[in-house]
Amino acid sequence: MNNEQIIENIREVLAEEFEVDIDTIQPEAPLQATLELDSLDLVDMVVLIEKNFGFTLTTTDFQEVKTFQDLYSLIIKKVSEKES
Amino acid sequence: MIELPCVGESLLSLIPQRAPIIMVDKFRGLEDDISLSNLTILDDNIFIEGQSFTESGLIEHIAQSAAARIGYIYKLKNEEVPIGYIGSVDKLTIRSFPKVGDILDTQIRVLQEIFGLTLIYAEVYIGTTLIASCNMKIFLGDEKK
Repeated sequence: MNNEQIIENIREVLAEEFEVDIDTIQPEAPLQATLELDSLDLVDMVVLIEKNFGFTLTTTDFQEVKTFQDLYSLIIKKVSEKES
Repeated sequence: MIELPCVGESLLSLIPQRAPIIMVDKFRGLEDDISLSNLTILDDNIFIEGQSFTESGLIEHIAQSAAARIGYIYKLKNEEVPIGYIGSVDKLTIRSFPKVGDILDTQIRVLQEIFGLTLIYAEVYIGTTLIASCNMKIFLGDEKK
């Protein structure tokens, strides 16, 4: 899976799970506000990502994640680590 | 040191609840990271309606089973047991309601611990029959038991 495919996969999964228009998921858009996530929903998002990509995430991983681009970068890095 | 199975006063050291809202009467420890606990449904249980144990009782039993797991782990570390709060209950499925005399046999598996929240998956059995399951999010407060 290349980076574009990973990003498209993330967008589709998040749009479906959190019932938002996929076009609102833009790289610089704020993640929590766009998906209307509270702290409980954040856990669901993490579980969803882990299930889709097969790695585990920690609170530390999310310290710098504010936008969708931040999330894409994190997941691409984790996928790369998993494959190497 | 906590002796297993954990019952009576020893069990009460793991959970914050007190009678008449104690919905776990035995904690059997952890096997492969899955915690094992029980409740025998007595006829004076406050969650009995008619002859059946209610949905609220099942949710409380699952929450206390999760609390006992947390309490047990903290006790093993010789740390004060924090009080946990239910954040949400999701995907609750109840196949049948327990009756007076039934023994609930409950397994708690942790799916994720992140952002100060613990997501668990619970399965409640009577004998070998799965009667209920759910996901539950629990957050640990600063208060200690």
